[in-house]
Amino acid sequence: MFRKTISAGLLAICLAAPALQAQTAASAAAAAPAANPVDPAAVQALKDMGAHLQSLKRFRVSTELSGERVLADGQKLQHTATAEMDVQRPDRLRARMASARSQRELIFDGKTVTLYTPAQKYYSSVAFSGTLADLVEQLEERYGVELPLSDLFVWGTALAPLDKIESAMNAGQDFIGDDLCDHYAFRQGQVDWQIWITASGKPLPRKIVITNRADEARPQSVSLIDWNLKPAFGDASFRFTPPKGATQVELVPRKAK
Amino acid sequence: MKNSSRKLFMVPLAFAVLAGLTLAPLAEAAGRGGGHGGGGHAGGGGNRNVQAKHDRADSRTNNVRSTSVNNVNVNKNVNVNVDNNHGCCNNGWDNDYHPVATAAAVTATVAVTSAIVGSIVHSVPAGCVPVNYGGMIYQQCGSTWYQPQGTQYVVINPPY
Repeated sequence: MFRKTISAGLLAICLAAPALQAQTAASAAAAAPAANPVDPAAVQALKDMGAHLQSLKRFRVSTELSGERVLADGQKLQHTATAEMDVQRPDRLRARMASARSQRELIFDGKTVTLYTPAQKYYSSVAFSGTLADLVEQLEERYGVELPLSDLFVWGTALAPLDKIESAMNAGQDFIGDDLCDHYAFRQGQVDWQIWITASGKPLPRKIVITNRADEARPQSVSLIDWNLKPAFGDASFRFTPPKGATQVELVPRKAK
Repeated sequence: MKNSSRKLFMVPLAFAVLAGLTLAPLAEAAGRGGGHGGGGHAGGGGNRNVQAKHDRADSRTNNVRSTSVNNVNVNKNVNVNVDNNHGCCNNGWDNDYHPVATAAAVTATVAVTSAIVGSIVHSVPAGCVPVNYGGMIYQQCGSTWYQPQGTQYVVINPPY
């Protein structure tokens, strides 16, 4: 359906071209970008990155995040958090999340998901089987628990459809750390987002910025991403044994209000 | 005239020097605490020796409006069925924070029975039950709910 729309648009441009040439070349050039706000090359870059992400079997990824909260009067407060994840596809994960307020871990061994709070030695376990993409979706839907960098598990799968993107453009190149990256900007619904993908070698996301247009203060998050594709962790990383003195706590399913 | 203006200039300078001297050991301590994993490394950050405190934060910082959705994952927001913000949880893995924006209204109606929403205590009463909701641990103490903030607890509106 989408394809057809594009080719029809293309056809229209081709047909119109001679007529436009008769007018001014400048107006033809100005009209071209509006014909398709979705640059297919930018969408293709997302596809390539998603395919590469899904092909990675074992990796450690870490992120440093700055997020924003909007106060009643529109003033924004920025906060930071960090996370580190050991990942082994299809169904092993350990995430460590830290902020000024809390430290938490999420461990998935393919059969059980455990949420652990080291400071108070509280843990909650629920049975779960499925891929990491399933885990991302189900944890959110059933329990309202969101994984750090959950997009990494979803890009390249059906859970991240690319045909609803309303605007996509190449925004040039930039350095993230020492890595030269291609910078893309997208718009979908109330969300504007940007991604920086390594330009040489296999495509990996190094930075993601998300802007929420639903609030006029436009709160924004910035995630910087570091990769280790040859991690040293072993299977033990994905096992959780309650430490001495740990207390099991009920994980309450999310309530609809 | 010239003299007095110079004096005015000297006072803040002296203060800055003194402040610099007293701040130095603090900065050093923070460096030791945070330097565990070898600097420059994004993420992890699990092993800090120093606790962040929130007891001096202005109460206005708790007055977060409901449209303030914290977007940290792209697909959660644009593709995975986006539910309204009122139902649940924290809207982001980083947002270990429970807004207490309706503090005034709540305390006005239930002031008799409960602790004041937004107030901070150092420990919770006996008999509280820890509950994990939306990935965050809360303490439910009858009708009063607490959220841990570092080593302290803040009284919140019930999360569900």
